Amino acid sequence: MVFSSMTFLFGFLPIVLLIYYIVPQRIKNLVIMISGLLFYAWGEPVYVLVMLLTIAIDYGAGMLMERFDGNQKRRLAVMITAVVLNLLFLGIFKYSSFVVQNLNSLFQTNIPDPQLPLPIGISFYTFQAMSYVIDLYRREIRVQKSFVNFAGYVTLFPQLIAGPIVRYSDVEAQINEREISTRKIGDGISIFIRGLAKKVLLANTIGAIWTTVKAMDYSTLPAATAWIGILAFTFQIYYDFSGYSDMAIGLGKMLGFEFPQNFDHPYLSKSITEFWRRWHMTLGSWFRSYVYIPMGGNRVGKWGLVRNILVVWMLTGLWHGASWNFVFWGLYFGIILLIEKLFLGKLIQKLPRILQWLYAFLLVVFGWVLFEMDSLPAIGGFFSAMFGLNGAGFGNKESIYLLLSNAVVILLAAVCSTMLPRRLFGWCRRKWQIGANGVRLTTELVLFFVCICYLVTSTYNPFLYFNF
Amino acid sequence: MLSKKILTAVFFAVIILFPAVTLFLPKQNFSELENRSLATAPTFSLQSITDKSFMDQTETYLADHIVLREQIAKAKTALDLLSGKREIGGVYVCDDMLVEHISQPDADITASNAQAINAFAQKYADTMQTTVMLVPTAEAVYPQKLPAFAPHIDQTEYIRSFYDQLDNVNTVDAYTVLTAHQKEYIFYRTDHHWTSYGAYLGYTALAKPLGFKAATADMFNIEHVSHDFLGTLYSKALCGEKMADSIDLYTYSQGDPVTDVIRYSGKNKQTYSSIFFRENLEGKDKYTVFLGQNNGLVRIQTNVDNGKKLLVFKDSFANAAMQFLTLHYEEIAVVDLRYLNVPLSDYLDLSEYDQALFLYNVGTFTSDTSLRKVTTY
Repeated sequence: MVFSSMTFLFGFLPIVLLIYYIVPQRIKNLVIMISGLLFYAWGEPVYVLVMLLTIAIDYGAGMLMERFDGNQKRRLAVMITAVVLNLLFLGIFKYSSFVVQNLNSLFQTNIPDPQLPLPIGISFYTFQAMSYVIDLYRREIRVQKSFVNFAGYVTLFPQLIAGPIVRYSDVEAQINEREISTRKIGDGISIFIRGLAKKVLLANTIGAIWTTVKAMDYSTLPAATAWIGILAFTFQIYYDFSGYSDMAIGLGKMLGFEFPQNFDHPYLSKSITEFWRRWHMTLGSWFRSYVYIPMGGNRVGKWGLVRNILVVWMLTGLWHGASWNFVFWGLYFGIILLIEKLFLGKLIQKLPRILQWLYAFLLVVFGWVLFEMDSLPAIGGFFSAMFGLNGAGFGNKESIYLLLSNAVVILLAAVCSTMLPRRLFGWCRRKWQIGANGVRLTTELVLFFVCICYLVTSTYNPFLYFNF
Repeated sequence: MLSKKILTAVFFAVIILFPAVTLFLPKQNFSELENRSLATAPTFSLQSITDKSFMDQTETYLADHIVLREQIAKAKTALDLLSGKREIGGVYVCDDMLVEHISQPDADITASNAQAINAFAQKYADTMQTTVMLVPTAEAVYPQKLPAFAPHIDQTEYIRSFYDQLDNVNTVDAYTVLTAHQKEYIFYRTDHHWTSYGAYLGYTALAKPLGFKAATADMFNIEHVSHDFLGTLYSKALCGEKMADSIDLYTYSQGDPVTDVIRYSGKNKQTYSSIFFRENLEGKDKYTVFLGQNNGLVRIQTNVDNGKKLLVFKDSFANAAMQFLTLHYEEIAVVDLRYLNVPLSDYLDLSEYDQALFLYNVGTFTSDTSLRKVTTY
């Protein structure tokens, strides 16, 4: 179930919230677990069993580590077993086709492709569940003895299928005890509505531009259209993903949880290093804690650093999808980060800020080309269109039409990715004090109703064929 | 904080009341505006759960039956227009009319359509003379009305290249005569069809290749039968109520020659006395006043008594042209291949017909894959 669906907004959410608020404190986690399983089963009625198995393994591993408290070797063995099993599931369901295809083409073998469909959110919940076992082994958290509480953590529906990657340590205290207040619920609703608007009003509408452009023939694609297209995607993926994270954070608050932030105005970054501190922050910090630092981080000499960064970024790429273009995309950022770490970072800082921003933004946009194109010829074709190397010229009528008919959305998308809305609100608040809350309330209510208009019309689809 | 409390109250009111009211209100089965059946309630079974059809059905069921659905859809169009969008649901919203956007034609379909017509003309070369008229749509006749820089295909070029692929077939240019009269009311403003007058112009273009003398427009009595027609383009875009169309029916002033209109469906046939189905003016889809809902085969018999019989393969554009063509034939068999599911010879003896006319508009023709039936059936 996705948050931006009618089933969720007008079915699941009101029912679950009502029950959740009514039942006594001690049953609330049970409601969370059951609702989470239903939420997941709605999208994966069969694979919900895989998730349950993951939960059972990690819960069991926690209990075993507790039992072997004095025996470090056994604890290590339990932790490694659990991590291997977690990764095994991820590997089987997400990467088996990719591995088999590559083996086949490399060794001319004929291993049948299992073609397993990817269970929704497996990359997210596996990473979340693994954080528990590893942190427990490191004694950074305490064991969770209640199965309901542990399963409730993994299946907590706001963050279950698309992040943020909430680590067990982030919510350890809250799982056992949390405060639910009208103030928190109100804040949660605000954040949820803003996230919904990002997804439905910005990501979906601007995404339509990219869908159009992506389907065009790149050999005749004029440069302006290519840029409009890839910039549209740049905003689409940001609003899609950060909108989903905001909805998760908002829903979490409505249930009484505080989740970590996942995005912090990434397109304002002035270097790639900064970009990755602001983009999908929970993933970056996950890899940092569980891969980069255990490998020695940056305290392993120059070549060790090169190795560590490349490994981490290859994995980051691969985490996004089982395909070579994601690996390239990850390595692309890994290499830029290395260069920035080694010498470029200091040099850039001497540039005017606008050039620093332009440097980082353009590299990110080029990255999205790698992210979106699944073959080398497509990548080459699109880049040559962007730089006019395909001889299709700068622009045509269609480029102007695309720009004009989407001007408002593009402008809104650009403005909302900066600090401007926040500054504007701050300015309102200083000027009118109480009035500012009215402005915010009105904005959020309008956004909510507009989102509903866009959601409801998703099936408005005149069937006019038999009129023709 | 008061504002947060208001927000919370409104939010919960909406997410609870919307589904609750929807649940208790009586449901519609059919959306007249969209001309389609609305989703039925999802069926619960192990099978429908594991293959996720239950979940998908629930979502479409909710979306199809949510209270205020049509009002919300109209509000969405208004918002889209406000944001500067000028293409909604495949329709360009122009200042004084809605214009259907014709997407890039599929070259394979075009080629196979040409092949089908060639094969037909070849097969019946001894008994029938074949004529083809592809009618450009409003998008080609009114390029100046489209939103600034709006992309559109060159339909005249498309028609020309299509005609080039035909052999031993008369081809008819409808574009010139329509463009010459573009200041007149030849296309509906909220529907993708041509008006009766537009169809009349098409009829005059057919006179020479089909070998009859077209009646002048003043030879017809014109009856204005509707002034509030909101057509298919309105249904798609959901704006432009103010542009509502009027429908004119033309009858020959020397008396309507039509005697019998026979509609076939399966083994049944039903006979009517007029090509106008006036009861359809009461419904939403008023264009069906011309020859009724599309049907595989309709035979029109007249008292013209000149022995000439015409076989028309067509889309719905041709329906409005029957008011004129009936003046010149003893019988016209109107075939809509998209709805024809048995061989034509089950109904007709094709050797009786001396002329065949393929009358299509570019919009449907570019994606119509039913023409191959013309020889296989």
